[in-house]
Amino acid sequence: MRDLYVVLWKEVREIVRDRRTLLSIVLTPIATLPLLGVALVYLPALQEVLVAVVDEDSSEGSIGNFTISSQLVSRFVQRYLTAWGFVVTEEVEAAQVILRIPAGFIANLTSFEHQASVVLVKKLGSPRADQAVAYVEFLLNYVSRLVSEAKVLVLGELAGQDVRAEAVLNPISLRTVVLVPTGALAGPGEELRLHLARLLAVGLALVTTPAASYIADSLIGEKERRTLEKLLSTPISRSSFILGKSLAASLVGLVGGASSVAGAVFLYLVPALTRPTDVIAYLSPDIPAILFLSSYASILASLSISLPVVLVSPSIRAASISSASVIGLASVIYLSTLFINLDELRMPMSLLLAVPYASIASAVLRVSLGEPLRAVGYLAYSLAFSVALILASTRLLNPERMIASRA
Amino acid sequence: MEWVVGLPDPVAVRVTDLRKSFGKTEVLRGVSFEVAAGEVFGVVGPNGAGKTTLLRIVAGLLRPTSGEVRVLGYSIPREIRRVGRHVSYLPEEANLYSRLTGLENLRLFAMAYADRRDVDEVVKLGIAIAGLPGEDLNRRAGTYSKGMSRRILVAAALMVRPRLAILDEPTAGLDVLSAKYVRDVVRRFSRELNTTVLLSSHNMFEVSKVCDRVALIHSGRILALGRVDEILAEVGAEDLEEAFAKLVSGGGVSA
Repeated sequence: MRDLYVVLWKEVREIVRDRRTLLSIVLTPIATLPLLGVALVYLPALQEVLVAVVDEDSSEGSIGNFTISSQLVSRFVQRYLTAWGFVVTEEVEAAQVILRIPAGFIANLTSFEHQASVVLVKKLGSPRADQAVAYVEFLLNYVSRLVSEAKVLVLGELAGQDVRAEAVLNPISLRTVVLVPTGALAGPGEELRLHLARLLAVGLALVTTPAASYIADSLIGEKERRTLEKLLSTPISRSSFILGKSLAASLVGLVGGASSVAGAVFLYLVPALTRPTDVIAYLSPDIPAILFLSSYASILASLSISLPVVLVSPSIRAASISSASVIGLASVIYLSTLFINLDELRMPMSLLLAVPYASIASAVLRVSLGEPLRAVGYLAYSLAFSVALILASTRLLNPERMIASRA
Repeated sequence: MEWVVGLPDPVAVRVTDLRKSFGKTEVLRGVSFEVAAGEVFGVVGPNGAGKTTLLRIVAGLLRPTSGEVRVLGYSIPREIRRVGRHVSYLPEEANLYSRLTGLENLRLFAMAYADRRDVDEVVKLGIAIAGLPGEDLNRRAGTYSKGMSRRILVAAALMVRPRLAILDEPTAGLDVLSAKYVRDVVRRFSRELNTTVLLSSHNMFEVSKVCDRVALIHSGRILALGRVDEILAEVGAEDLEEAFAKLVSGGGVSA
């Protein structure tokens, strides 16, 4: 214990006085988490997409009392697209999405024998254009529905039958009920909350980056700065040397975790930029808590994975490669949480959950889905994994290898 | 302070037929010598002679390929933990922790060796050995000149009252005055603290000033071993440089 205290005493003083590294660990999540939110939530809404609506029909028709014209359809589509932030243009060549209403559209639309058709042209290359196409399809479905209802009423009259359009057009009523995994009814903002939690999981990679570099530097830096040999020659035990450095790195983890929470608050403010949102409702206390613990666990995982590599091949190059590999592995796993729930994969891919980063990311998602116990289980596994690996690594410290190896 | 009592061997360092290879390169080729308790013993030779490897093995940092090393009677590196608190080592290119002050560097090594209640006393001795004014000791070591850093490092090696201090090129790269200070400190405090000193140097003048006995080493072999005056008489040379040159071109000698 005395040896451990000595190493920790030194490490803490060095950390506190290494302002640049501390600042990067504090500022990276605070600056980048909101930026991530801006990039993935806010900026797509600002991307300009030109939409043109070409009316080649310019006619009007009616079904019973219901009158409709191609100009009306065209204006309806244009008005809503404008309201949703798309740019409606007259310049067809420049447009990325073109809705062409061909001649004969209204005649077919009001007919009982023919189907009206429109052409929707999309130029590849813009994700926002995909959104415009989805919106146009939604608007045309709405028009189609109005026309169908009018036709049903006319046909009912002709048949002398009382008709309710809904009963004809939608004989099966479908009501979707959204539940959280525990079975409770999901609130209106639950999906956004989950989406933000996925972004937070991605953000964990940002916490891992400076920490992984710190850990590699903490070991190899001693060699570089020519302090290692003297320290290894003292009576300080090898396990205390490794554990002291690991504990110090844990302190860095705590700082990184705290700044992640601060960054997350800013991230949660991002949706409010695009539409009025009750931010506080999504930022329940469990989210900062899990984020803090996850950041800490993520940093500890990076330490435990880097440690054996650095100890077995203690060159500067090996340390850089191991730190870059750890960052890469963490980033890929955290990024994948945008698209999949890692803890719902089938064998053999479910083994991926054995990687601490996967269980940490799953913990963040489970908390946002109202399953704190599962989250605690995942975090406990990750911490146990890291501690076991760190303890096992203490046996790998070989002064001869550390001193004699070259960059 | 706690002292080693009842040591099984009055000889501080006993090296027997020591060999060390790194891959196919044999750095030490059957080195044997003894250092008596309280003696200042110098290992002298040119760069690449194997001095640092020899000292690292005695300090327990490297494993011998073959042969035996006993320090304070214990086999090294197997029993290093039994003598760890009584052996201090100053590597050739050691640096201080640049973000810690000079005083904190001394305290760090004092804490590593001494019991908690003795730390202040050990640091006080370290300050005396380093001979630096208080304002310098309270500055970060990153701002120190090489001479100041070396004073603190030598002080850190001696202040813990080791039974054996291993100093690898303690004056390398120092200006004349700093080198003299270090030499004087080693000589004075090794006597006052009753510390055996095993030091290496490529400076023949230095070892003849500081050491009771020397081993001239070249290409991993000891060419001559004994008191400087004995070696000079045996080889028929005016100084150690000349003796070394003669020995390299001829055979070895043991005085």
